[in-house]
Amino acid sequence: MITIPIINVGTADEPINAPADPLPANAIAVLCDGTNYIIYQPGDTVPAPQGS
Amino acid sequence: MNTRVRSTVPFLVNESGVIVGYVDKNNIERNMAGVPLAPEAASGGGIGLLAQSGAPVSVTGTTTETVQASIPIPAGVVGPNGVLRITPLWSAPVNADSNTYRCRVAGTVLFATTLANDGSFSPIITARNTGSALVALGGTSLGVGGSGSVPTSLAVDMTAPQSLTITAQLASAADTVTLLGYTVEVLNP
Repeated sequence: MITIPIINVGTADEPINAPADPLPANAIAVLCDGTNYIIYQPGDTVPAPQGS
Repeated sequence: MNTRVRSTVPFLVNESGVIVGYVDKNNIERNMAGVPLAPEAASGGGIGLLAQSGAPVSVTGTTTETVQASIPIPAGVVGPNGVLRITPLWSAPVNADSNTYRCRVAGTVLFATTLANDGSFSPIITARNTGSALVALGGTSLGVGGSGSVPTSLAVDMTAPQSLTITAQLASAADTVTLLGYTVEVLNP
């Protein structure tokens, strides 16, 4: 599991959160918590699906 | 050093026998630098897969628009009269909070809609390349069918490399919206 910090790729008035570095191609799941992108890779325990 | 590696990765070879790329585990053709190549269909007509993922990307803890996927579009992949077809699948809480879903090309909004009580949402978004612009269904929409607005025309030069981003914006930071996967295709005449 690795973390990638958020950067603003929008404007000050209309910010857009994006990862500071590209998400790895081998990511099996990603969670953005508002501060960082948490990248789960093969071998990591993926959190239960959310959003429902 | 005399290390030999036997690989099962399929390589792409040009007509001169030179290795110019490879096919990754998701069946995406890439050059040796890892950049996706134009789908074969782009030059000869037909449908080509530009990108696809089933790795879920969740957003929580913020009400700022947040990128869930960023897909490079190589120069010339979408030719004149060609179509970019995007099919994301989102999962969201079934509640009164109105979350906003967007697709942007070169940073400009191609598609945006705000939904509450959505649960799951999978629009089919198409943008047609006139040669000088990308034209898509106008206004807030579900990506297909009718809309109360005239078509959206984006001045995006598809002969140059561009990027497609898929984003979500929460109404409440306590919620979670997950992009469960997406498919991006190119259809050229």
